[in-house]
Amino acid sequence: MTAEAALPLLLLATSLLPAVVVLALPEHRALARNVLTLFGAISKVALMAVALLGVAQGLTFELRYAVLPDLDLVLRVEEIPLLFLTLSAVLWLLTTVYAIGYLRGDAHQARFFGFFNLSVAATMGVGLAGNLFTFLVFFELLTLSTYPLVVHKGDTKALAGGRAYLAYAVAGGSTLFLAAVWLHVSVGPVELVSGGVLADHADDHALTLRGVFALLVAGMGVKAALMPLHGWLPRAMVAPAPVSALLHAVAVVKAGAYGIVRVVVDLYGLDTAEDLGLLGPLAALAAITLLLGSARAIGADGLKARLAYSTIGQVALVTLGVALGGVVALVGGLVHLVHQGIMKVTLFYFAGSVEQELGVSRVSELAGVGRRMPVAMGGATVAGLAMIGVPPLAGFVTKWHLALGGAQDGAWWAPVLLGASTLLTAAYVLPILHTGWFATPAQAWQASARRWEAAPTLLVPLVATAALTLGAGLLAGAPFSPLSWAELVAEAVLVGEQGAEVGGRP
Amino acid sequence: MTAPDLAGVSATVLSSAPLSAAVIVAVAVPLAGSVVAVAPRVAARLAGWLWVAPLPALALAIPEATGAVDLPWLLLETRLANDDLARPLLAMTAVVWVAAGLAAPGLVTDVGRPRFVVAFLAALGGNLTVLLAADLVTFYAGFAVLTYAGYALVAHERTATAWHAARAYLAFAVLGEALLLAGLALAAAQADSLALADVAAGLGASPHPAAGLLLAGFGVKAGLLGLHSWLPLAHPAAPVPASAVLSGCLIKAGVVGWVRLLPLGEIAMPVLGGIAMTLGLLGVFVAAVLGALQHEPKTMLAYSSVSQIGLVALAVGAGAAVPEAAVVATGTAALFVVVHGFAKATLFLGTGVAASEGRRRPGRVLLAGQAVAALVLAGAPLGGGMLVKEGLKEATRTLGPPLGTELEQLVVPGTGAATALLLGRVVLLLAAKQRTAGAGAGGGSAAPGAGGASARVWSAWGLVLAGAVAAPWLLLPRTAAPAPTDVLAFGAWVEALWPMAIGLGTLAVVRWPARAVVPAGDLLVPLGAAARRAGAAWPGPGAVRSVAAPRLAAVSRHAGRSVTHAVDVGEALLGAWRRTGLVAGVLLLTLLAALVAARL
Repeated sequence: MTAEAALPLLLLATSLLPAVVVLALPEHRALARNVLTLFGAISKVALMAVALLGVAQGLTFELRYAVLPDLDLVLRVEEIPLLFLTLSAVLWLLTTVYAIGYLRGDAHQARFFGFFNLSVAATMGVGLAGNLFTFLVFFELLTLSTYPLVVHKGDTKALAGGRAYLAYAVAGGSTLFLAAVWLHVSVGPVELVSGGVLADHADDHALTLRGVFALLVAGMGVKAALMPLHGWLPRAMVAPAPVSALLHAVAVVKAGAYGIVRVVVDLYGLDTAEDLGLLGPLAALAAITLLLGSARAIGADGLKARLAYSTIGQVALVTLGVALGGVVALVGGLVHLVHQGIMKVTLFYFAGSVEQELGVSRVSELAGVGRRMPVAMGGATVAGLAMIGVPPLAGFVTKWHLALGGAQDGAWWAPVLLGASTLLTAAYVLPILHTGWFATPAQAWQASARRWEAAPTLLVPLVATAALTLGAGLLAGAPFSPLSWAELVAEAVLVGEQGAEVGGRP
Repeated sequence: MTAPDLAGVSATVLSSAPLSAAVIVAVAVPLAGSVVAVAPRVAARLAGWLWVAPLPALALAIPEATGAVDLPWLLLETRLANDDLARPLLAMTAVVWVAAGLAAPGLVTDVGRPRFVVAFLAALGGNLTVLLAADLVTFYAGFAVLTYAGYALVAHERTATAWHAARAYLAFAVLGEALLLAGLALAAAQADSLALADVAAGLGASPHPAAGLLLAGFGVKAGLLGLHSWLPLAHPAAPVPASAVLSGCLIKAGVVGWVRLLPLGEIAMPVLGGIAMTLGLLGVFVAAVLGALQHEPKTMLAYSSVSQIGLVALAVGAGAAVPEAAVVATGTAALFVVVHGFAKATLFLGTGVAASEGRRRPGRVLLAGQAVAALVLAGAPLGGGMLVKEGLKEATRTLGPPLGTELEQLVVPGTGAATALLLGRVVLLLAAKQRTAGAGAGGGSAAPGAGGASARVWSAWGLVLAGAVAAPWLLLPRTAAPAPTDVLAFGAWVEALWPMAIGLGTLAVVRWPARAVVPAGDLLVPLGAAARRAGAAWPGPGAVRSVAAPRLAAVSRHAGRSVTHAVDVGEALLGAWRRTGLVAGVLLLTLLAALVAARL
């Protein structure tokens, strides 16, 4: 077994092993549980660093195992997966720290952290999947491993939310399965490779490919919360804050968007998808989701509910990026995989912190929080403004590339759409910031009993992701920024596709 | 001074190390200050030293400081550049911010709180970035920082009025940002470049809707008539030093945007130019009348800013409509920014001085100084306003008869009447206070330092007043502003004075109502009421839901029941979660082991 094959395996194992051990450990072994989980998370980040350097040097990390003749389980580290995997590994480490602080004293922690690790493993598998079959396996595993996290509280409301989640996710998974079978039967085994592999079949199987695409997008659209398949997302908000953070930023919703990206870019190929007339409808779907999701977020009083609707709109930006079809827009979509993650996770950390520290769960109750918890509020402000698209923060870099890319490809409506989304986003973000910083509370908040405004385990991850949000925008031109990486990826995709010259920026 | 000249930057060779350092320091000092001021203790210390932050930028005003700096790792390859347009504006901006910083401790409650110090320094940093940016993204970033920091300045007093004003400010500002995002992206795509100069040139290649979006987007910030309603609410609501920089510098960011990005001199845009000129001219007169009907001096001054911005819109519109007018138009706009920046800052700081003098008489010095600033704006002989008017005449003349002639000979001079009317009333109100105060009836104020304005506040006021008087003459040889035909000639004096006589005459003849007839924010008030009424009448999603929901629910219940059942079964299976998880995990591990084994 070569080192190149071991890496994908290790990426999986660093969360799978802790998952099994934690589930087997008795509830009271908190220290062992935490150490093990953190050890797994830290070693995963280290492995990701190795993978990044390796891929930058042109190495391929691939593991292949024939399950059946013609049906391989393929795990491969490539350009686009690296974006997703790095994001997952980093945010997972931070969220682990956060969850340890958030759940302190809670019951059922063994179950929680066990499944927590299991869902990381599933996410890693989704990220590494080298063909549709592998993707499908881990996509289903992701559903099953996150369900216990969603219903963690165990009350009626949690169970109802979990049921909705499961119903949607299982239906989506089945659709995906159908699509995979249809494709396999029609064109044989296909892999996910930069630039797409279906170009040769476009003429013979045009209708099939369109049908498969519709099913694939529908199946993944459930997780990506494309309208009208988004119904589960607001209901799944019953989950504890760290879970919501992960569901929205990395695991479930992001996995859906990531799946759509890979289907368009690595399965069909941008040009083939364009030729088949698939991108226009996808762009329309993304645009509608962007506007309606943001509009629904306006006025939602529950902080997490507002963030949930906001996710629907924000993740649609990723889909929009690939659907616009140009290189610059693709860069915008890819980089938003990362940007949406760090922005939204910051806001969920904020929601969880004020909930734990002050018992606040509604926007209208945030008055005076800025003075009581300035650090948390400051982090939320950075992330909130970034989501609006205020430069020089991360969200702006995304919106700029999407608008510019759209305009360059003659989609004049794209800049207008993004302008409108800026307005809508501002309409649901700014009231949070205004209330938090400027409104006077009915009665003063009790001072913190600790040295800091909240437990350091809650604050440190929040500050870290807020700093990433600032850094990803301010230092977008620097060599290791998400933007630079997304530009490299887009370049590689285009080389794979047609060898065309790429200028990420005009 | 056509667009290629303005941003001759793109052709400039990278400059020497000292200049690079100076440019970076000028922008970085205030921004770094705003970051460290997040800590309350630091903010309290910095509050007295705010006036230091703009000083590095002042050094860039010397002619030798021309050149560009590339920071490829910052944003999307940031480029900062100092050019002929930026230098005079930097000088004005830096001095006005120095004055605001000097006056802040005396005129702002809670001046040492992080929320003021951070917002003040961030707004300064954003403002300087707007002036020095040579690429689109950096420009937009500076603009956004200025916008959002400006919000915190407007909301600073935390009163109901301040909330109301801040909300209006923010709503308009976000609208402006959205228009700009769309406009800038379209423009950059058209030009296939992010350099400001290239973008203006690219838009000049053919008529493009992006130019309209940019006119409107920057128009919100500048306070163009129709997009101005936030301004008369926001500027008076902010603490006095903040009002001074809002009216003196912030709205000028919009003007800089027009001049830098609209393809003036590249292409004739009769429609766009016509709209800008019409709104500008209407704005000059309408805002002056609306302002004169107010009773609060700061609100009047804010309306005066809207009125004055109309003059720039006229210049920019002429430059857009007729390429030949562009050189004069941009030069006039630059000159205007300098003159109005100093004069309006003087007038605002003057109201602060008057308020802190409390029950004492504001004094003849103050009265005289305010009158001088007002006269400068109204276009009195030898003042900067007169030079601006000369430039406007020259620009409108290029439009050709009959419109150009009428504009040149009648309308442009006539704008002086509007300014004289409005600012005359501001000065008269102050004079009235001068008479009535002292007897104890005068407008007592809760402003800090009610024992009288401190030396710092007085010197701040004196500084910008000196700027208002002297700067146009200092800058004149260096800007490409129109050479005044002969500002000492008798004819020019007559032409400058008759409109003022009309304005002041109207002021004397009309009996002004004691209370404000038009509410501040004008258009916003009926619009807001209409929106509220519409909101009340609209059945809302709730009503729709109550009709559609039962049917939908029945259908979905029916369909959902079978799914639910299936899920229930699954749930029961998953009931023993830990066991299931263990099983799944072990299965996966086995799979992995098999993979490894297969490989070995």
